[in-house]
Amino acid sequence: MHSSNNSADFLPRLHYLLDLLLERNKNSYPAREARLLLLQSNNYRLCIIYAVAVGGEGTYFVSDCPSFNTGLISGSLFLGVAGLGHLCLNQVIHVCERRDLMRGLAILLAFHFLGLFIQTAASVPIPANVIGLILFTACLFLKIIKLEWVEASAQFLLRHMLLFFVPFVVGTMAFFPLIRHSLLAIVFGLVLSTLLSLAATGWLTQWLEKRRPSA
Amino acid sequence: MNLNELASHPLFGIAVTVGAYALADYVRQRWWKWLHPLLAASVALILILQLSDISYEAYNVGGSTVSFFLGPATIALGTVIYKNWPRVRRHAAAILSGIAFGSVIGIGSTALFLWLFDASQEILLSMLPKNVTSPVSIEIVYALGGIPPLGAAFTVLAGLLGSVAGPALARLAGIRTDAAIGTAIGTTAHGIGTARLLLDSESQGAVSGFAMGAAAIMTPVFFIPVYGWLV
Repeated sequence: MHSSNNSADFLPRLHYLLDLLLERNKNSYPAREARLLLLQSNNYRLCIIYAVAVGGEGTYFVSDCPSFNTGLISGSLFLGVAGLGHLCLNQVIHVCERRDLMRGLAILLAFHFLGLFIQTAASVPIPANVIGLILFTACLFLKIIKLEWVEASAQFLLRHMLLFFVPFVVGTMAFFPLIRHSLLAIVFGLVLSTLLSLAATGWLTQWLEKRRPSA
Repeated sequence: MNLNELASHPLFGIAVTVGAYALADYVRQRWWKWLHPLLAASVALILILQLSDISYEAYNVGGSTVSFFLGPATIALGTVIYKNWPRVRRHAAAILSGIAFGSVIGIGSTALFLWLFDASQEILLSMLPKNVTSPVSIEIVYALGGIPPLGAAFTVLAGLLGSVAGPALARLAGIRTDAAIGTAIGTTAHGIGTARLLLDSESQGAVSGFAMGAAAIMTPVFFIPVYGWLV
């Protein structure tokens, strides 16, 4: 990919240059591409995939547990794995300071898993992804996580977020007979109350917002 | 050859889901910008499954892999909240009041309409928390003694409705500011509505994601008196 003759200071200097470029224009395609090519020839990729796999597997395993007890046991089992994953992730974050998509995905998965872990261990009645969202947002505000570490993968996931709901909507088809059976009540209950509360929320928010003009 | 056997390979569910969505999104970008990619892709997949007699269980082997990414995508909403925080903070009081008010109206009007139409108790209990994000609503339905999968179906349908009709309704109702539109749709149509807003406006999407998260924390609290009333 690049010159095989890496003198000690060549790479850092090139990275510094790309840093400056990317700081000026985050979306600079050539700069990103160059950075990617620079990093691709190293073997960090395996390490990242490993971290993601650990995070993903753990999430699947714990969420599949039939009861709280087994959940707790596997939860504590996963404390070990999570520790390992954390170490690995730390390595990934340090080693691949500028690996865009994969690093972000690894961080997001780690927070999702952290949410699941807290929910399972402390049996908090808030869903794992909301706990993860709260912690992740807090870490962004506290500058523990830098926005540019996660921005590319976050934007990729958010731009296509509707896709991830498709299997759920397809899943409603199992309930079509039941829904048809009491169609009128469901239509009124679901449609009218959703539209009503949507309008009510919007009106109140807009009214309060306009009453006290923004600074 | 058994079609269901082939279909229960994870690859089938993943491939048809991504394929249908990509096609719907292409049509939306290219020709028909009012097409809702989630609605279009889902209707197409339901038709495909019905016509080819493939069970949902077989499809969902791969389908659940696709919806798994909802987890990290929800976490990713944190970046949107962080980037648009100045906007959220300036109207924090208005947004939070809107979320609380809208959640209560949603629960109350559902109970009222279902009572007027004489719906069965299990439908009522499964539909009450439909406007909050599905992992929370399923938990509430379970605690109320409703049918959790039915509750999940109602939640998804409510989100889909708010996502399809919400922006147009807001326009008709004279709701014009980004903060008000985002709050309204995030409170009533949770993640599905938020994802729809993000297609067009990041600042509406940010408020919507914030509202969805705040509603997810507030709604279980609003249900505490309901538990008391049921017991």
